[in-house]
Amino acid sequence: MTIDFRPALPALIVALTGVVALVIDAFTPRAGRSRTQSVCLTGLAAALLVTFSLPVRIGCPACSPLTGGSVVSDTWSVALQALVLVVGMLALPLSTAYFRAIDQDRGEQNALIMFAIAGMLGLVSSVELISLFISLEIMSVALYALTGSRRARSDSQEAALKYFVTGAFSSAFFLYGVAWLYGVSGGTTFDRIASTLASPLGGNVGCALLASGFLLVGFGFKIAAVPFHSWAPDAYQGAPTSVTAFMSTAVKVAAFGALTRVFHGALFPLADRWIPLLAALAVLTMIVGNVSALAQRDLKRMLAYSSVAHAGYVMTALVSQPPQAAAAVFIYLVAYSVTNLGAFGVLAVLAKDGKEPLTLADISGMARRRPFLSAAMAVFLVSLTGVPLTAGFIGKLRVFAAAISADHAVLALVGLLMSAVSAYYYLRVVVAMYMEPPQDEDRWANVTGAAGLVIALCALAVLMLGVFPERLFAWAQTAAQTFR
Amino acid sequence: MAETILFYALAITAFSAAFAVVLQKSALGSAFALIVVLCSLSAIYGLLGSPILATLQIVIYAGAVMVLFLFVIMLLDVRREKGGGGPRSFVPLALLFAGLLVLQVGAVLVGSELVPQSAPFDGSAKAFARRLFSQDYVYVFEATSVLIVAALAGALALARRRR
Repeated sequence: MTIDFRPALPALIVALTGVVALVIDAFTPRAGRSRTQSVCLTGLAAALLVTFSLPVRIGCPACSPLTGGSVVSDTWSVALQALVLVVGMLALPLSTAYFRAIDQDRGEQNALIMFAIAGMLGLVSSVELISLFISLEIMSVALYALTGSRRARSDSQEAALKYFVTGAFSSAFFLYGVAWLYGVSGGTTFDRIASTLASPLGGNVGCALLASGFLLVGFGFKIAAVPFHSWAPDAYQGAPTSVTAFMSTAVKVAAFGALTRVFHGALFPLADRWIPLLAALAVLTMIVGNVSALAQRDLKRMLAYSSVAHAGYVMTALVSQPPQAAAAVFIYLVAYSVTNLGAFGVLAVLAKDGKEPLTLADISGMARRRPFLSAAMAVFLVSLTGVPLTAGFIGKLRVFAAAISADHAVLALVGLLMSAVSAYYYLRVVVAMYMEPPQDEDRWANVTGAAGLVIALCALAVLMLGVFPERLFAWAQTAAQTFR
Repeated sequence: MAETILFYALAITAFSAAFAVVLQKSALGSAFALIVVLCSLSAIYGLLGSPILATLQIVIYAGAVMVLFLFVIMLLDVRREKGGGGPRSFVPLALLFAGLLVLQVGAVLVGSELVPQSAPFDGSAKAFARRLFSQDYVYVFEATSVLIVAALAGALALARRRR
């Protein structure tokens, strides 16, 4: 029997691009600049094109493809793959600009970003636990290396080691959960698991719940949900800022994409049991993330705790019925990705001569010297807070609405309260940029070229999605058709 | 009967060697005890009717992984820390979590009736290969190659000398 490999094509194209980038780097003269950016952008664009041209399945999030293999192309996978690819295309110019600024342009960064993206593409389209796990590992291994890629700095090395050790730990949890599910259902495909769990389980309920718990812990580490978030601040702070921008957005997109499919697809028959657990984690994540962010002096660390908090907001959506949950998750992920990529991106593009703005004092009065960049940063921070007319507001509106519709109004209430708390630490940055006197000398880079364009695009997207959300709603509707 | 005796002999060997891994003072001793654990497990896989898994266990774990461990131990010269012993404060916590895990898994196992495979189990190399390279797992097999390339590129990026 022949296997239809087409659903794996986007991931294959991106992985091959990564290999090509490695080879090009190997043959570039030592003094020269890395020339792989355009190659990688082309690869991502080609993968995006292919993603949209594949035949798309509607409905049945857990079904194996009829033509064999472990990955599918359905509306959910296409939507999330497109989002991952777009985030990747936006992150590449930031990465090039940042690594040039810290004078470490010659490296395997672009190739590693490609491999990470290939893993993410597999992650959101897998309907089988082992391929899901391998995809997760491809993504993670590339990211561990990227985190440590600022070789001259010990905090980058430390971040990579912490990320690696906790990541390996979480993989073990995940794998243990996979083994238990295999024991219960005798298979690793999602439809086998879903049909086993839907039938009377007898004494095996305990095994299935244990397995679900282990999977949740594994995913919890990847999305940095409390109490599995302890690596995130250190890893986000120590990693090169452009890498942080990429991994705080794309990883969450991919991990939440897979989490939604696993829990609302394969494990949906147990929904009554895992929803309270997920709700508790969401509350904990929102509270701990936001309250810890209040105390931070370092901008990257503050944004790191903020992205922990945002994982909590997304989780509130997951307690509702599948189609609604999926639509809300997708809307939030789109809004969060463009916003957070922009916010970390602004910090990354300001880097110059190996230094970058780290504290409020570093960016005080920035509005006078860089009005456009400051305006963009203000837009991102306002959107992260969730103020109307920004994408962040639309995202929060939908996830809280989803939670309320599932009779979990408490989640929405906690989310609202915590959003109010978050206003303090986000707007503090805006105040510093606009109302405080500038520093004596201008130490930061002037933003030009592709990186500046990326920031502008992100800011534009945040405003456009916030003012005209209908298009986004329509996309989410289509994406969620898988979960009908 | 002979199989049962063999199983218990192997299980006891694996178990006591596992204790030795934790209790050994020298890292090198722990590593060798771990080899004993892995080899006994390999023999148990063989008893369960899967010669291919038994072979892979030896080649991958007792072979590749352990050689890597030994390299690290010898390169770092861990022996010097032998006398120190390090902080012992983690022992109660470790025991607590280990106990919790054993209780949890035990409780779940007592009540459960894990589903037997629908088809009779065929652990031969041929059956293994057929599943690995058929539509069930061929995608995973291919994806693993990407994982290895990504790991190689990552290791290169981290370990290469600055220039």
